[in-house]
Amino acid sequence: MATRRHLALIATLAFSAARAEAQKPQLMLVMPEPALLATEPPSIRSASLIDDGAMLDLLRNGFPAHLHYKLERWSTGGFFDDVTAVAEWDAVVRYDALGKVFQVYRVAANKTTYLGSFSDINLAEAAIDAPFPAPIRPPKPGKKSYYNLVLEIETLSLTELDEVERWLRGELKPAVRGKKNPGTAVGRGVRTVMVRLLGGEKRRYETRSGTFRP
Amino acid sequence: MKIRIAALVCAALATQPPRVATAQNTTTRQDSTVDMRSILHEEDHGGLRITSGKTYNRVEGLPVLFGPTYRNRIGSADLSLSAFGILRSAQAFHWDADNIGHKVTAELRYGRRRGFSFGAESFDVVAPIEPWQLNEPDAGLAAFFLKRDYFDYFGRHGTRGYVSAFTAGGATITAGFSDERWSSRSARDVFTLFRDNDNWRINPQINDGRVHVASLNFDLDTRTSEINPWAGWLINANYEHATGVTTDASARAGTAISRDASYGRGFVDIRRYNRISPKRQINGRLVLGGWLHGDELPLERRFSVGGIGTLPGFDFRRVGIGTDVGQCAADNSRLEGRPAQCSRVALAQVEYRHELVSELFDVFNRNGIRVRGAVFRVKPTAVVFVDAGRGWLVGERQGTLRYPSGAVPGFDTFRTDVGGGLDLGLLGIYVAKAVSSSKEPANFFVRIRDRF
Repeated sequence: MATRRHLALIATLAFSAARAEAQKPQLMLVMPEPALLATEPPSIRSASLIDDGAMLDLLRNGFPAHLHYKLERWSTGGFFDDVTAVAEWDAVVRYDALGKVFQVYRVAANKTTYLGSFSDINLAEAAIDAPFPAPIRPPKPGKKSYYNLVLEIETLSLTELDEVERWLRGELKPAVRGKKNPGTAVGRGVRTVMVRLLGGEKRRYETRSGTFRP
Repeated sequence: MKIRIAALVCAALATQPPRVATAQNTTTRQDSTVDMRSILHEEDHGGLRITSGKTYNRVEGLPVLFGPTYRNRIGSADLSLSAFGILRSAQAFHWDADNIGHKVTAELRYGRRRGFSFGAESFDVVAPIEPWQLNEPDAGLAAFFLKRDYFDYFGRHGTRGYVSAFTAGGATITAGFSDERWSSRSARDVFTLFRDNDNWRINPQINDGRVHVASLNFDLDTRTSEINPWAGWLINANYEHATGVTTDASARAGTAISRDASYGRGFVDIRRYNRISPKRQINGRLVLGGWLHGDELPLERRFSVGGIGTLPGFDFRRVGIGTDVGQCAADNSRLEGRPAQCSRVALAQVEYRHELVSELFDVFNRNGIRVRGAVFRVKPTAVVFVDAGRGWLVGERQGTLRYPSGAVPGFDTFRTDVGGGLDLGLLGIYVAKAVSSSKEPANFFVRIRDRF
């Protein structure tokens, strides 16, 4: 009986871990074949960047999500590593409340690409996640290099006035009216301070390739 | 009332200015006709705005700025205007002269990536005396939570005009001229979350007066990122020449500030970030500042070292460990609040950072650490650092406190410390130990983001 219980516990833990892994936001640099390292850039892939509850709530309330990608190519070999190429581009997801669809755009080279409108956030996520060849020059042959990718996700239009209003409406007002414990409201406010000061309003993901010599 | 103040502090202190997205030249792709610029704030012409002063301190509490802003493109220039009134939360937002101020700015900027700008501003603000020592939000948080204020403050009321040139490489040079009235400010009744019954450290008196300040400022920022930069330079260099009349604070200061003051002051803060492998960094910082010519510097333009921003192995405003090379106070001239009194200062900081294997922390990272819906991930980096610095007076040689203008104190007179810590990405936990004063106990401290 004890053994069966242990097996059930292990299976539950394994299932939970696998499910958590599947939901974990991921950002990946997919490198070209070794023979093509000097001619082709890496591709960017991702998973579960914008489909969590908090982001979905913001999107549905009219706050577009802004994804800013910055890919750097570093050369190594000397005492200090150097940035030898940089590419930046953006993606924007916004919710059209009338059409009840999520619209996805990519902005690169000062031009906008419309990636589509989707009724399901998972489909919008898939459009964002699809492999995208990074607009960066590959290194010259023989140049020992690696790529570093940073993705920052923030909600647009979340101005300070919006934030004050949201906080007063959501947290403090009930406390002032006596419907909530004022101490709790202050405590939540303090946590809000910490979240904002620590950069919680902007999600930041970073990944890098291994060092390679094309 | 405490709840109201805490609410405003919490909502306003933490807010960040909106960010405008940019897209660099990259390869072209098939485009639609949809214009995303409207989504990316390009058509935002401003409006009524409420913002915090991004600080919290014992003189103001939380300064709340409110008023209209306007920006637009006129021909080839970008025009930006703002007119903020300032209401401070000290004394429970009491409406008095110390609690109200203003900041009105107008700027015309030509060029996007490189160009020039000119502008004018009128201000009635409270300014920190040595802002270079510590970044926000560290200072504001220490004041709000622990009633520890690591700055001294003075009032600045006046007008300023400036011209500026900037390059795509991150360099900006600015020449300005201002007419200002400087005034002493006192610590007030300011809310704190803990230690509310303790007293604030006294905010020192300064040399009050009216001055005309001509300044030349150079900034260079080539960092790969403002947060956690991996490489690049961050340089701030400043020269100011001031003439004016200051009140006679010499009886309090123990210094000989003349009524007609005319001085030259220089300051340079150089930071270099170096990546030495995909996971390792060596970063350095050098700060030099001080009197250059003319009369002695007024108290509000002097220097000091010590505390978590400069020499964390030494307590902030520490005295009683030999010659006071931290604040440069002579034994018989200790002023209330222990203000900075050094004519010159030198500080060097070096740190080595090594990103650790994060699989150790993946148990936390799998779903992230959630605080109020925001997700944080632990990205541990081991940090080892060394700091050395001191201040000194300029004049006839006197022990190891005063040196002639052309002399530099020996390195054996500098305060030095070593330390280490763990930067978790959200914040860092560190310990520092004084080396030059071996009996000083080790200090534990927390910093938000990087040390410098």
